[in-house]
Amino acid sequence: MMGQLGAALAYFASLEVLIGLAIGVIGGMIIGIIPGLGPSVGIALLIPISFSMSPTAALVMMTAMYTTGVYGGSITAVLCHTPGTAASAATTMDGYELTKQGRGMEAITVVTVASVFGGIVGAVCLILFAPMLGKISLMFSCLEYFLVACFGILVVSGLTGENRAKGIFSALLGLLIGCVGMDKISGVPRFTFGQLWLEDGLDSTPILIGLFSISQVLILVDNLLSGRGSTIVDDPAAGLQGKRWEKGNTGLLAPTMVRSSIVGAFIGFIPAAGCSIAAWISYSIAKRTSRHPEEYGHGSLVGIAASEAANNAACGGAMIPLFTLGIPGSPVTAILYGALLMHGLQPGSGLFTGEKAVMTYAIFLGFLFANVLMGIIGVTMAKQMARICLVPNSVLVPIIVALACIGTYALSNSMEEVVIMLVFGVLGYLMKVLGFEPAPLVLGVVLADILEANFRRALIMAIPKGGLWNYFLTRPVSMIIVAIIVIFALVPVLKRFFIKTEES
Amino acid sequence: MRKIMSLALAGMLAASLAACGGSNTAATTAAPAETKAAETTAAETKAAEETKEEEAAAAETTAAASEAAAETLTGPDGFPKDTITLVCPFSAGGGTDIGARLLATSLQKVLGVNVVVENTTGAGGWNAWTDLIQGDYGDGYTIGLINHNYAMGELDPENPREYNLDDVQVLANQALDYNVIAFRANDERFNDIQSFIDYAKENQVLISAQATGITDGDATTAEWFNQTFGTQIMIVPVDGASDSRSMFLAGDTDVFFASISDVQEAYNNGEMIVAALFADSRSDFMPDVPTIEEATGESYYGFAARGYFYPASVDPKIAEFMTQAILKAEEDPEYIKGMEEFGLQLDNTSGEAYKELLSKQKDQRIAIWKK
Repeated sequence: MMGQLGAALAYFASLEVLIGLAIGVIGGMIIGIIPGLGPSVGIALLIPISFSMSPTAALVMMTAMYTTGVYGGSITAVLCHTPGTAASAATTMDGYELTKQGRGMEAITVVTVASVFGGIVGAVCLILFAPMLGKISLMFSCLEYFLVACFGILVVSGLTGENRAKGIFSALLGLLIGCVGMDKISGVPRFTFGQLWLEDGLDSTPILIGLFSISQVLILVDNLLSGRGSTIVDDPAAGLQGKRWEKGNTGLLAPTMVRSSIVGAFIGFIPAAGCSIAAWISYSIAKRTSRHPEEYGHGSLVGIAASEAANNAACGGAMIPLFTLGIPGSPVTAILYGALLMHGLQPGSGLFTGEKAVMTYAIFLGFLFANVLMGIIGVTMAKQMARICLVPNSVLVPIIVALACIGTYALSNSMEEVVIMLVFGVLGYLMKVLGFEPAPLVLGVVLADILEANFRRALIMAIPKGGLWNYFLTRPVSMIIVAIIVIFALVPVLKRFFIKTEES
Repeated sequence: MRKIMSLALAGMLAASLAACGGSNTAATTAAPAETKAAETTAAETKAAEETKEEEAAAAETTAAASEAAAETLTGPDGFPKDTITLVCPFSAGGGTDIGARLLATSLQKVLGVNVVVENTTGAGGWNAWTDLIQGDYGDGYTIGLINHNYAMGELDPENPREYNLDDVQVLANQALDYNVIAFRANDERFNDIQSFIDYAKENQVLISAQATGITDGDATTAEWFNQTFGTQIMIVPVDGASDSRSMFLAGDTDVFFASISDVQEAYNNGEMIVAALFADSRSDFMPDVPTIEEATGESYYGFAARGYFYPASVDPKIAEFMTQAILKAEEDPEYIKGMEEFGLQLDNTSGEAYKELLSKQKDQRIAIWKK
C-alpha cells in the first residue's frame, strides 16, 4: 500500500488535479456558507463540469467539496446562526453564543482546527483501513440503522434546553413531520392532500434553515425595532478582540477532538447515519461526559470542537463503504457513487488492486490535502470572516434572507421548498419566543425516516428467522448498539455515583 | 501559535507537493498511460462493433440517421434556435441522469445549440412528468425523460397516477436493461434456478425491491415466481438499487432480482452467479446465462427501458425531427463509449415501436397481479 500511496502522490504533480483540488476546496466553502446549499447540491453542480476531466481530478474535486462544504456550513452557523446543512446545526448553539460575546474569531478558529483534525482522522481511516473496514459495514442492516436512530433519539434529551417537556414536544413534532409523504413500505401517500410535492416528505434542510436562520433573523429584526442592539455581537466595541487561539485551548480541546473524530468516523461509516447524526451524537457524548455540562449551549468551545471534529470525520468514514462496496449511505455519497461510475471507477475490490488502486489512493490523498488546505484558508481568514458579526443587522438580515431563499430553491429547483422554509421560519420564531428549542425538531425530522422505514424492514426481514427477538439474537452488532444505548443512558447516573465516591 | 500552525500546515502541503516531483513520477505516469491506451482501443473496437450493428438496424427504419455526413440538423422553421432542456425526473449523479447528460453532450453536437439537463426530482418522477404534461411546453424546447415507472403509474392501486402513455408523444429510447436473477457465489443452499426453486418452496426467501406491487418490475417477477413455481419469496421494500445491492451482498436478502447493469461487474469477477435472464434471448453481456425459459420451461420477460418524450402539445413535425436528432446523437462514438462504461445496453427503438416497448410489460403485469 505504501508503494501505491507514493505512486498516487505523483498525480498531484498534474495541474488538472491541483486545480480540481483548489476548485473543490474553495467552491465547497462558498457552497457551504450559502444556507441550504450543501455539499450534495455543490457536487451535483460539479457533475457536468467534471465530464471532461480525468477521473482523479474530478473525484479529488468532488471529495474535496464534500469535506469543505460541511465545514463551510459551520462558519455561518457560528457567525449568524445559519447552519448550511443539518451537519452544522449542533455547532450553532455554542458557536453563536460565542459570536454574541465577541469571540467570533476564536470560535471560527476552533471550528476550523476541529474540522481539519476530524477531516484528517477521517481521511487517515479511509487510507489505512478502507479495504479492511469495508466488510464490517455489511454487518449493519435495517435493524442496526433503526437502533442507531434510536440512539439519536436519546441524544434529543441532551438538547431540550431548560424545559424538558417542551424539548420532548419539539422532538415529537419533528417525528410527526417526518411522517409526511409516501409510506416507504406500502407506497401509500400520507398527509399529502393529493399534493405531488409532498410525496417525498418534507426535506430536513428547508426546515433547518427556517428554524435556525429565518427565526434568528426575525429575532434580530425584533431587537432592532425595539432598540436592543443593531449588530449580532452584544458589544460592537469589544467585537474583534481576543486571540484566535488561547493558550490553554490545545489542552482543553485535544481529548475531545480525538474522541469526537473517532466517534464521527465510525458513525459516518454506518451507511444510514451520516454527518449530521455523527455531529449530534458526538456533541451529546461530550456533554454527557463533561464535568461542566451546564456550559454547553452557552458558548462552550469543547462543544463546538466535538460536533465539528465529528462531522468532518464522518465524511471520511462515509466514503469507506462507498469505495469498498459501492454502498452510498447519504445523499452526498449517492452522488459521488454516480460520479465514480461515470468515470469508470466501479466501487469494489477492483478499486484497491492494480492500476486503479493508485488512482483510488490519489483520490484519498486529495481528500486529505483538501482538509489541510481548508484549514490554512480557514485560519488565515478567521478574522475577516468574524467581521460579519460587526455588520449592522439592517444590512445583514436582507442578505441572509436572500441567500437562504436562493439556497433553498436550488435544493430541488422548487418554490415549495422556499415556502416551507419561510413557514418554519415563523414557526421557529414563535417557538423561541415561547421557549421551545428548534434543534430537537430538526433531529426528529432527520430521524423519523430512518426510524420508521428501517424498523418495518427489520420486521419483514425477521419473519424467516422466526420473529424479531430471534432475529435480534443473530445480530451481534445490534446487541452492541443496544448495550451502548443503555450505557449512554446511564452515564449521568454513573457520573453522579463517581463524583459522590470521590467526594467521600 | 497561529503562525506556527499555519506554517506547519503550509509546510505539510509543500512537502507533499515536493514529493510528487520525486523519483516516482516517471514510473507511474507511464503506467496509467499504457492502460488508458489499452482501454481505449478495447472500447473503440467494442464501440465500432456496436455502431455497425446499430447502423444496420437504423438504416432500415430511418433515412435521416444514415445521413451521417451532415454537420448539424435543422428542423421545420429553423428549429431549434435556442437552448434545449432535457428534464431528468431523478437526481443528479444517478444512472438515469448520467445517461441523460451523455445524450445531451452528443445531442448538442447534432443540433448545434446548447442542450442542458435539468433535474426536477420528486414523487418518483411524477413531479417532473406532471409538470411537463400540464405546463406550457408546446414549443419543443423541453424534452422529458420517460421510463417504465411512467408507463405503470396508472396501475398503482394505492396511488393511481393521472397520466399514461397516451398523454405524451414518445420519441426514442436510450437504454434497455433486462432483468436477471442472481445468487451469491458462495451460497451453499442453491446454485442454479432449479435448486433455488426447490429451496424456496420449502423456505421463505427474501428479496429487496423498490415497491411491493405492480409498479415494480422485481416485485412482479417475484409474484410470478410464487404463482408459477409455488415459491415463498418475500419482499423487503428499499429506497434504491444500491440499497438492494448492499443488502444482498451482506446476506440480508437471499437472492438478487436486478438488472444486467447492476450485476455485470460482480458477474465478471465471480462474486455472483447469474442464474437466469428474463428475456426472449440470451444477452451479449453474459452469453452463458440461460433465459428463464431455457432454465425452467416457463417464459417470462422483464426489463427496464428509458428514453425521451415530448408533451402531447408539441407539433408532431418537431417531434419527428427530434426523434431523428436523438437517433443520430445515439450514434456518436463518444456517447456509445460513455454508455458502455456505465454497463448499459444501448437501444434505439423509436416512435410507435417505442411506445409498444414501454407498454409491453403492462399486460403481463396486469395478468400476474389479477390472480
